[in-house]
Amino acid sequence: MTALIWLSLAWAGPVEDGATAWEAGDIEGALEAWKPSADGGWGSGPVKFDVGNAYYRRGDLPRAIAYWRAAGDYRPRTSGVSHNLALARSDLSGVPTPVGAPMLWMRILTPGEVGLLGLLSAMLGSAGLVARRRRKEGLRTPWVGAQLLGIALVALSSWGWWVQTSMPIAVVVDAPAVARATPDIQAEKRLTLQPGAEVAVVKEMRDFLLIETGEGDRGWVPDGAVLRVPR
Amino acid sequence: MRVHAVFAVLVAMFVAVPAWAANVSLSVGVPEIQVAQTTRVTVTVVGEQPASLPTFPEQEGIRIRFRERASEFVSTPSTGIVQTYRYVYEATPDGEGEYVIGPAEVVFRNQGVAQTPTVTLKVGPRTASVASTADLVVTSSFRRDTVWEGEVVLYDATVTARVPIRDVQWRWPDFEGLQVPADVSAQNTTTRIGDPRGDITLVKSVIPLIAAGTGDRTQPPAVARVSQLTNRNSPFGLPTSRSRNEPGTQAPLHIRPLPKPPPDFSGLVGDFNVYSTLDKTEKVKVGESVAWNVTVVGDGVVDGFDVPELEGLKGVRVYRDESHSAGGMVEGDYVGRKVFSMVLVPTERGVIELPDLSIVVFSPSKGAYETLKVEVGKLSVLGSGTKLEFEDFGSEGGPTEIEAVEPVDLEEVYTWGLATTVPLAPVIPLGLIFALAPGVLVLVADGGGVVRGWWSGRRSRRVEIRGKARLRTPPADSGELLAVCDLALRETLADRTGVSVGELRRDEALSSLPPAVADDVQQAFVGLDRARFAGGAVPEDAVVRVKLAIDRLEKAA
Repeated sequence: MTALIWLSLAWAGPVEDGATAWEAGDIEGALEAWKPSADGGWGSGPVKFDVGNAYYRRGDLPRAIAYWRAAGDYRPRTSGVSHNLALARSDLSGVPTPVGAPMLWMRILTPGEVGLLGLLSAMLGSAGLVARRRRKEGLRTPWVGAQLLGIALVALSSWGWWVQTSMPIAVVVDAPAVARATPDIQAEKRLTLQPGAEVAVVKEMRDFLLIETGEGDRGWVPDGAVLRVPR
Repeated sequence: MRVHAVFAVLVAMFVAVPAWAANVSLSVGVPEIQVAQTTRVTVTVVGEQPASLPTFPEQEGIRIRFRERASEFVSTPSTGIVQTYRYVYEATPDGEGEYVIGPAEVVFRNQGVAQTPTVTLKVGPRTASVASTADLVVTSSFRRDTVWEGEVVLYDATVTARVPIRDVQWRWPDFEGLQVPADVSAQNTTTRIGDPRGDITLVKSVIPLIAAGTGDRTQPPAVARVSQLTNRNSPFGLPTSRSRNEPGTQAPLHIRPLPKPPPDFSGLVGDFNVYSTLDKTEKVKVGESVAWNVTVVGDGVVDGFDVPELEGLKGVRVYRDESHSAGGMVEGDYVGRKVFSMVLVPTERGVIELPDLSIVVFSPSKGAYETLKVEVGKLSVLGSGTKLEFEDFGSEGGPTEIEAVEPVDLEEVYTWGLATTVPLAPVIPLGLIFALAPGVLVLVADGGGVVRGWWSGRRSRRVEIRGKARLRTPPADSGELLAVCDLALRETLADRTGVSVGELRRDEALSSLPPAVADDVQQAFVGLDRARFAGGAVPEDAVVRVKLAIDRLEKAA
């Protein structure tokens, strides 16, 4: 774990580099510094948030929303994310209700945080059991309970992470996207989604994605019509 | 009228939620019956338990008798789970005419009293129509045969049975040119009418459909698969039934295209009401958030509707939060509802007149487009800081200088932080193994100790059965009894002299005892030897001597 943290610190540079360009008014330069980290395998909340701000300043609200949603996945309790999202959404019209977090608890905690709580609980349970054995007195039940709670929280964390990765959020970008009844360009048109519409990707088939709006409407859209929130 | 009554209930439930209390209503099972028939009247109380049965005023020409009551939990998005109490009565009119039933009076435990609205029951003469004489009649029709494009039209299918039936399943027509609204299913009700010629069961299904196509959209009959009870019982004593397929009637429908819409047409087709609420209007500070909710309720579909921008809005920014839409059957009618939650943030001081919200809808009842206007209200906005408030209330004469307010802007970027973080969730299960391991090992070790303790306890319990304890339950067999008595005596003597039974030398042991005790022990051994050599049953006095000798040995110790 320590090695991973040190590894993360080693990749901390781009945030500062981009911020320097940003403060100098160079939005393109800032994007250039932030985007590789934001789009590459393991991003972070701050860098995705900053990319969202850069797109907003460029006037690309859908992409700004996409990156802020991604930042929200990493830092759900950050008020800046919800503030900026509200700001961007208020400039959009004709978009359906944004899809929410896949699970209610993800509005305040990330799967990783829930997993860490689980680990701490399991460690506490183990420590309690070891201490009890040394003292040769005390109850065993609370410590076994803490271990079981730890297992449950880690299971919840893994489930949440799986749901987050298997049903990502996507945002319609560039042009209105037509959602169709089947994954076929000739299929019956079900609904038209305006740029900025935040949807959940339910399934992927060939070059089409089955998406669901916050109002429960479903349809197949071409993969290129939406930007899947980069994780 | 009925739809508007439903609106009133919905408004009470969804708009004026803070004022929520018990809600009472009255409904009649079948609003049109024939002379001498009986229908059910139901008083529904939501949210609070009545103290006693609801009472009806005395009314000439109609008898109302209490039949049964039931309660259930109902969940709505804004009220949460509330309990609903239903009181069912039977109403039997004496003759033809229109009867106004109610209002029923409901007394609550806190001594509060509520009155239901009234309902009207029409009673016609006895007729010999097919529906009143045949054992099974199926009908299917649209509630209105001419509707507008986009309007919600209700399709009624009814089974009227004079024979006992178990259940009804419908095979619906394809509904070409019509669409079922999302997440809406048929509403099914079963009511019974008491009739002198035999009770009538009415099974009714209502489906809301959106008129999508135009022109003649007459639908073929729905077919009811009725499970009719027979007089025979199954081998297990249960009543048996047979299935009958009964077609309904063709349902004529003509869908008229909408006239050319105005440019700001919202897409709503139906009779709607709009409500607007602000959570604060006075002493609002610049930059403060004021929650603004807009609720649209009507008999049309609201799914794709979006609340329009306020035209000419100045001094306030509008932030959209979220919206929730719902549609469904309520008391036999379709009701669509959408609630928009928004936030108003004033950016200027002073009294800000918010422009009216205008929504252009097509009203099927008027056959024309109409603009629904709702007054949003006004905000009295003070300054954002302490200084401004002081100026507001403390300065004398002359207008105060209005502070320039920064427009709402983005939250600033992060200037430092990690650009890359490792997702923890996938690696945490591995960490869990290490976190659990010490505790699990302790549990396993403790578990081993417990098992060992149990085993050693069992062994020690086995060892404890020695000496006099062996004679607590003397065996019946004489040979075995002889052996047990001899062993018990030897064990006690061995314990007394501090050697094992195998190392015991009787003479040495006896010599170490006090003479009187040694004599008793010797006599006991002699008695056992005699019994051993004499054969047959062991004399009782030999056993008594052994017990006596053991007692003496234990006391001497």
